[in-house]
Amino acid sequence: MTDVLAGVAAFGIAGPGAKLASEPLEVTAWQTLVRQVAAERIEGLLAAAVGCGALPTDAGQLASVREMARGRAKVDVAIERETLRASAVLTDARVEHRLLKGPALAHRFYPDPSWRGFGDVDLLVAGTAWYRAIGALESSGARRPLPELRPGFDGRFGKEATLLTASGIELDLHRTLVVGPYGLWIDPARLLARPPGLLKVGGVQLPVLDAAAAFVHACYNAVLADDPPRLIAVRDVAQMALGEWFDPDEAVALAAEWRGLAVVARALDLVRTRLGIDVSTTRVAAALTGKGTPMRDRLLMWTYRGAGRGYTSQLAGVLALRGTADKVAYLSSLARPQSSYLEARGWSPRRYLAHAARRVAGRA
Amino acid sequence: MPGAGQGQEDQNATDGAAPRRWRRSEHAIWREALDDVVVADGRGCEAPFALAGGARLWRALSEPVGIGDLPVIEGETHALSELLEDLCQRGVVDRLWDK
Repeated sequence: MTDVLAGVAAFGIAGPGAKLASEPLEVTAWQTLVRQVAAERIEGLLAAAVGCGALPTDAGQLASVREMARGRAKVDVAIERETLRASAVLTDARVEHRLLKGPALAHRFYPDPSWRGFGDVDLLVAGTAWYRAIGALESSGARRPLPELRPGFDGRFGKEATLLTASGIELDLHRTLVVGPYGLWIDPARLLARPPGLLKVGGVQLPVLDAAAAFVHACYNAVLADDPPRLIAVRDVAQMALGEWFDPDEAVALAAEWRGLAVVARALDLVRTRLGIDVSTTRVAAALTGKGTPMRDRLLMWTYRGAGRGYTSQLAGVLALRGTADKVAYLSSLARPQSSYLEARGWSPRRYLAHAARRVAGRA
Repeated sequence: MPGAGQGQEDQNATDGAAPRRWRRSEHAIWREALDDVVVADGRGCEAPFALAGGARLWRALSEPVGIGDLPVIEGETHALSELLEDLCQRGVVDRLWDK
């Protein structure tokens, strides 16, 4: 079953003739596959595999795939439209921004955008424009259910804020690309100063990360965002590495600037272990050869694993900060969030700390 | 004359003449799902809708096309002209008149 799931996630890379199964799966295996495909948001890849005969189905299974693919397409199109709106709001407010992940990858790097599903809108803005961006989006009808940890935390140290748009779609406004030390080592101002790529959707030009930065971000997303990694995030890395859409030396230089060479190396390894695809002969793998990384940087990747990773990676973030004032402000924000943050989560200060401790200990 | 005979988009041509050709609106956003297509007007508020069996039709509409050159959707009960009018109303297809 896992092999079929990995095969669906890797569909199209091994060539059109590659078969995932010789006959329709039996009921239990099929139900398991359907559940996993939905959780991984790879319904589009399943539909593509079924559509070209790589995965044989009976009539009931085909109807189920059709329903799933339609549902995924409706979600993706709705989110894409919300992306157009949010980008227009930020443009009107003169907030420099970049569209991340989802549509930015689906349209540029995949042969068919339906292969790459997504669950929310992701936009990057500068920390200096953070509160203006939030204000503009709130004026357009979005609301932020969870306040920032402490006043000023987001613009200075935060990774992202989650807003809900008027139509109920989740919009993640990013100040940096990941939480914790690897996010704090990125200089968002320099990232935003890079010339954007441009993506045209619905007649509208959307600013996206240039291809080299998009690749390094895809590696960060695959390695540091979820544990275990989402298959679609690993597929992004494979798709871009094999497609060679970017200058590999530029991507490696950017990863080195962000102290993320170990993350890129790990992402390429995930492509092999999770999807069974060898990317060792790609130009980016060659560009990584001989680039050493400090042991400390590699060890810090472990803070992004386990049930408590949200807390452990944030705590480890202090190692990426320079100066005592920043370290104290950062740690005190983590230890003593403002009351509106705690109220929104329904926690007392003591319960917040207890929850964090349980998570770090891996017991919740 | 360059461009002579090419379709000109003219949403105000309401002289009763039937449009000669049709094409996707540049504001349409869509995904194919097997042989279906899910479409929405990027400027609108209407929920994305599925055009069952409409992927071939949608692909054909990537260029200005006359109704006689469009594939028929299997199982579609409405006439193709009615379907195209509906897609225009929803803002995902443009009518083109020859001037």
